[in-house]
Amino acid sequence: MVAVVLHGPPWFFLLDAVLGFVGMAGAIVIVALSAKALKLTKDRKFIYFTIAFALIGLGLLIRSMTNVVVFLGLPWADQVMSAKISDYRGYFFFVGYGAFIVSTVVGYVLLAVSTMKIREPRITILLTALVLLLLGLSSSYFLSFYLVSTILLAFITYHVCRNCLERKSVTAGLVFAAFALQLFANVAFVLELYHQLFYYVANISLLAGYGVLLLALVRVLWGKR
Amino acid sequence: MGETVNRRNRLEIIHDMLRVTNDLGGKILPTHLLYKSNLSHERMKGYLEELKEKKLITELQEKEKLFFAITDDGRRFLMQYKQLKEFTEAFGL
Repeated sequence: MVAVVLHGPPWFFLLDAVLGFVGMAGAIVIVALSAKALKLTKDRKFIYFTIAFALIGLGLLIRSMTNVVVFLGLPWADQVMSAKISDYRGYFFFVGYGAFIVSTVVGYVLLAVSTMKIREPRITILLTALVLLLLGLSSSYFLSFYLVSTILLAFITYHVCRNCLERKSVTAGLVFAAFALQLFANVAFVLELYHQLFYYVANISLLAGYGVLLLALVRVLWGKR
Repeated sequence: MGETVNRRNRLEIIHDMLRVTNDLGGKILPTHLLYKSNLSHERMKGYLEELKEKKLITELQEKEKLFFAITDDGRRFLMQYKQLKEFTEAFGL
């Protein structure tokens, strides 16, 4: 029997679902642009990049759907701050968030590999295996997920920061800001252990990060640098 | 000190050939294209075959002179290339 203890106001699950759908919209646009680039150039670097964002988008879709199902099935009133669910919803939450974590982490590994221009497939497989093993053996898979994501996002953010300084373009700056906000959000999710305020800070940062990323993509689609 | 050589890839060469054609009102003389695209005669011939095969350019006879004219697909390619360049530069790919 799986028993999941949920914290926080119930409406936040719905807000979290909306947040996930916004992020997913950005991921879909990136997948479309990257697939187009792959078709045009036949360059292998776009394969990793396309799969990375497809996995990140899939993870966000699964998380959002899980949130909606859990929210709709919750028997608690608005003022209740925590509930224990041990029926099918408990399984649904466990499987949904598990799939979200695996999908997102593998997506981040591929994104890091793609941005660091690692051409050797064995390094990608090794990194993916190590990260999944770490998550699988962890007693707190949420904390491990946020810690692993923070490390991977730190590498990706460093790369886009260097690219921004090199290019000196507004769009590259927006992409850097988007990843920096997501990195900050992950750090805040880890700090949530110490104070619940960080949970709200993390979600606001994540929303801002997705918004900035969408703005960068709109500029790309409109042909602005 | 070694000299940095910035080699163009296949896609960049195709883009450059289409761009110079487009910039000159959509049609260009073969000699001008050879000069502007900075390629050897043999390499340019190969690229021209590919461009014609993909219907990105077409041959045009005007006043007994042969021109290469950019097609609508060629113009679409230029737009897609611009978007692709902006996308790869934004993410540093």
